[in-house]
Amino acid sequence: MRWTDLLRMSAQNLWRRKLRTILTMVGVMIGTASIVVMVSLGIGINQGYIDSLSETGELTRIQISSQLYWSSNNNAVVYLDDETTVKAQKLDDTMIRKISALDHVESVSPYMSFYNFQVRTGKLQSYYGLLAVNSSAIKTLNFEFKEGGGFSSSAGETLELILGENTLASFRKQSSQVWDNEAPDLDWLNEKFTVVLQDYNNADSDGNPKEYEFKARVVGIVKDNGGDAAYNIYTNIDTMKRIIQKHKSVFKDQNIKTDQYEQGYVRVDDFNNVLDVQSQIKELGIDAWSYAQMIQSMQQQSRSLQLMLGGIGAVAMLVAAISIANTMLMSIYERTKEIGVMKVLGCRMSSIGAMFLCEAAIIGLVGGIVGLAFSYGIGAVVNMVLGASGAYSSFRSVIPLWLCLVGLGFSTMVGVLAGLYPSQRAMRLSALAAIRTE
Amino acid sequence: MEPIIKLRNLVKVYHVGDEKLRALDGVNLDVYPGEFLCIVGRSGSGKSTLLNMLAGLEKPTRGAIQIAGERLDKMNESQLVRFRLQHVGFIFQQFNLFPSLTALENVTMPLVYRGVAPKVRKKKALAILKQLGLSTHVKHKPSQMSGGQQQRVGIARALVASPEIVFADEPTGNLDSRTSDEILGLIKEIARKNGATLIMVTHDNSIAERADRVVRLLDGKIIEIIDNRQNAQEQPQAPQNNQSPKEELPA
Ligand SMILES: Nc1ncnc2c1ncn2[C@@H]1O[C@H](COP(=O)(O)OP(=O)(O)O)[C@@H](O)[C@H]1O
Ligand SMILES: [Mg+2]
Repeated sequence: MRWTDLLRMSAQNLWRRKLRTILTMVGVMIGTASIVVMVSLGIGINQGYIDSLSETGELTRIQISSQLYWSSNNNAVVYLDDETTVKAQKLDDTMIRKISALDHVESVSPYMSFYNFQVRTGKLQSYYGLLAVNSSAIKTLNFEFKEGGGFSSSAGETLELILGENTLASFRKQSSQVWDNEAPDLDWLNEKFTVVLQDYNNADSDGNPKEYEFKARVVGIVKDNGGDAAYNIYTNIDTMKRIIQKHKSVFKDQNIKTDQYEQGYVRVDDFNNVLDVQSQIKELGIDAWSYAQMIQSMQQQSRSLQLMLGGIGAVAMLVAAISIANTMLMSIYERTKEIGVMKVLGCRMSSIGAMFLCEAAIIGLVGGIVGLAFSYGIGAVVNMVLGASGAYSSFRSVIPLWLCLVGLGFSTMVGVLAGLYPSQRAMRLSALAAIRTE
Repeated sequence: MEPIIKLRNLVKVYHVGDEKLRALDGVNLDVYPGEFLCIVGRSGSGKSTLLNMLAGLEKPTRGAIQIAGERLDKMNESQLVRFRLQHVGFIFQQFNLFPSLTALENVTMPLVYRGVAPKVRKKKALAILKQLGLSTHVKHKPSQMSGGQQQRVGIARALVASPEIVFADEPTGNLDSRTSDEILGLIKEIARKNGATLIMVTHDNSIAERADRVVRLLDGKIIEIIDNRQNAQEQPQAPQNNQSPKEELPA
């Protein structure tokens, strides 16, 4: 028998019993939809979030900080997990070297933040503070320069600035009340800049802070690649330290420490090593935070949802398989005589078996297709609800082509498996049934 | 001429409760190619049992069945299906058409099972339906046709693949006598044209008279074989020539 005839006859037989066929497909639909949505959520987390983060390099970055910078509390601890703690340690150059020496660590960049510094050029002023970093930060923070480049080695006492692309628009007239998203039209790399320390401890009678000015110039502008890098103004930490040393009297009230750092970034070679490195850093007594860890907890959250859907899917598929088998057996019982006649007319047993197997497979396949359509619907709703809840757009349902194909393959396979026994039964039916009169 | 069918000491025993029922009790018979053989006998004498066994629908308890050089008693189910596919056409008393298919589709089914291309099988089916005078009813479903028309579709279906042997179990049993006559004429005509061997169960004497040979069964045994041709040979004209004008009347 030709396979086109086989398919056509199977389809016709199913069509003859439309209602029953459709009811049988419902189980497959529910099963396929649950399973596809389950997998799609897993993919959604990986694709929607991890992929966008890994593009910007955020996924292989750990943020470190010491509790001893702002407080002199000697009992400060770092939590390794809910129970275990270690004593908090200073983030100083020795510690930086220790962290750099850890396996899988590519670079470490400590930084100090100076929020009471103002960056000015002409009459324009930015509200961003300064982040003092060393030159390895270019690697650690994944800088991509739009203009200029990194710090030069011989800057003397001029503070070199690297502007994040998104900070450009923050330069505006002090008096201006209008919020303007446009960056001023400046020749940034050749403009004269100053960095101003506003000392509120020595404010005048009107409450205006005392101001100290330092020379500065822009050496580079960092492109916005989706990460955090473009949202800061950076300066060279070594120059900063030199200035602080030189103007001790100015900085004495600023609570600035030069023997240790407040925070830093660590770049790890691979996403899969991040959690490991992070816990090693914590064991050294330094607090550490990473997107990788956040993603892990997110994955745990979504896993429970996935497990539930997987459970529903598995049960639905099992019920679907049983109901397919039941439908097929019923239809074989009703068609006993017809099958007998077919055998008398010379229809091969293998063709009869194949025909019933084909019917079961069609139920599985069509049920799977409709289920897939449902999955897209459910996915859209999930994305809408979670998107609206603004949860960092972390949960997402993504259904790639391969998932469609696997879903359809699976539902068809369930149909085929459920149809195996009935089709064997149909094959074995006696040709004599054609002769018998009821 | 070598017989196309050879039966040797064929026995079929049915077990009904504790009772053993010998439906066939040592049947020996040779049938020759192109022959039209009628099996007659009282109800319950074993006619259908014999025919079903010849068509490979039932296994003999003992004895040998050889058809077209193959031993049916030694075949398994799927070999029997293949055997029917290659050699056999079957006409049912209850017509047994597929109710959801049209006359044309019903007739093409044996060709579908044989893997014949759609165009070819449609052509063949239309041709044989025309021979049976059903050109106007090609698109009718069985429920839209009379008994005689349905049986003509049944005949077309049995003969469309040009089988060597055609079996028919009381093909006119459900029809009135005039229709029976027409139907019988058609079966004979097409079978003869194809050179097919025709074996028919009937208890209609007027039909049996038109067969080449008549086998009479009683309680599972052959009690009489009448050869109508010997009578014919005594007359100068062959019986088939006498009958042919009659066969052309219907349709
Ligand atoms: N499947 C069966 N089981 C038991 N007995 C059967 C079966 N088929 C036929 N018989 C018996 O075998 C005998 C012959 O039956 P059958 O060949 O149908 O007779 P006929 O066709 O000549 O009327 C009958 O007595 C019938 O009751
Ligand atoms: Mg009978």
